Amino acid sequence: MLRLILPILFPSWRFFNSIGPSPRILVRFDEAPWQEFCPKPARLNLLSRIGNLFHNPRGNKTLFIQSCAVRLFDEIDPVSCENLFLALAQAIVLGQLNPPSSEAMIAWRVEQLNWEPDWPRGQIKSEPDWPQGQIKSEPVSGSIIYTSEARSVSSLLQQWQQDTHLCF
Amino acid sequence: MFLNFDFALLLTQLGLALAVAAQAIEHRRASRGEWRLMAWRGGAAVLLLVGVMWSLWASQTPGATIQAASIGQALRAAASWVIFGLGVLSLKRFGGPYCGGSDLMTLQVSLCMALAESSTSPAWRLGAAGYLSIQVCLSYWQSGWVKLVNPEWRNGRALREVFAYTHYPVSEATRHWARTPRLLWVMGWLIMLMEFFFPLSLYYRTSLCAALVFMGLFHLANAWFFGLNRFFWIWITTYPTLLAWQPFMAEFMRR
Repeated sequence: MLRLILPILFPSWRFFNSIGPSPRILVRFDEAPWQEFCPKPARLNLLSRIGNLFHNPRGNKTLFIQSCAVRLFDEIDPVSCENLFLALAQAIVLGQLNPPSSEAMIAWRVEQLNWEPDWPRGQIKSEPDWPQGQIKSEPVSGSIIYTSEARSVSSLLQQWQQDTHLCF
Repeated sequence: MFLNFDFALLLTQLGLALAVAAQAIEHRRASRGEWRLMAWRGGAAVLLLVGVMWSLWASQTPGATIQAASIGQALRAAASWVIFGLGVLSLKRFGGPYCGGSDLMTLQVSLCMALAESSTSPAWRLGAAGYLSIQVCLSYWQSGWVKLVNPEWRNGRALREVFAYTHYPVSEATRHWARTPRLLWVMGWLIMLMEFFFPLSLYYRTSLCAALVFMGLFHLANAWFFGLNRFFWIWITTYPTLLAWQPFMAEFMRR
């Protein structure tokens, strides 16, 4: 209880204090190749951006599941795992993910992407390794942090419909 | 006083009601448990909105009785407590904040408004508003401090990495801002300095107004580039309270 209450009364406001590895969530049906879940759109038009200022359910859901994935970097967190499964179920219901059949098995995986090599403690990264105008298209390394068990799409959708966790 | 204290609290509560209602609507296509939790919270936001409207009507109507004003205050107190309580429950459900710091600020605002409206004592209400104002100042100052002590932020690299490699940018095209290192270096330093020195802006009313305009634009940019729309709405919701509390803080700072 104290772990829940203390951050509410005395929150930490350390936004972006360090830029660490970024998460990537992959999903697959049956034995199909892993594909990225919720990839970024290439572009967002002006109207979408203005609309997102007022109503941004998909963007905030994506931010939430990415934060669930980041939590898994430190330890296996069952709450985050269940929330990731529920987010996948919602994506299926909304047509953002298309399973081959309701009997297909779905699983997800979290990868940790490192964009920089490990730097010795205290050493400041020098500028020449990042020439102006360059953005790396691939990370320096990626490691699999967690692979979920496979669940059938039909049971996942049933779980989503019957979800009553902390529900009135 | 620049902004009537009671009216400032009403404005903050109006902002809180609208922000929480907008947050709730974003969950309408989520699972049953998630939607119900948020729908109850949205209902409390509507109750808060009714309380604010009721109080505005009571304050503008010459014939309104003290009881009428009390009803408005009781509605606002009850709704704020419910929003706060359900916010704590949502932390439990999601294993932490759903939307990072914006959830924590929503909790701060709802708790402070609940405390302020649970008493008619001016000192108590001032204290609750003061606590919220200090949290807003801390949110900027601490955020600026952790960046200033980080060499990656000072040399401009961190902000480029935010654009280039993190999961925050709303589109792949947004990542191309990482190709403008000089602009990002200037923006990074502007943000760090404004955040770190924000508490000093409370010394004068005009400096606070200027700082709030800058920080409001900063939140708007975060919403635009990174999709952090909830941060924008909940932070600007606190600004009327901060403006009303500024004279008290300025007096304290001048002693």
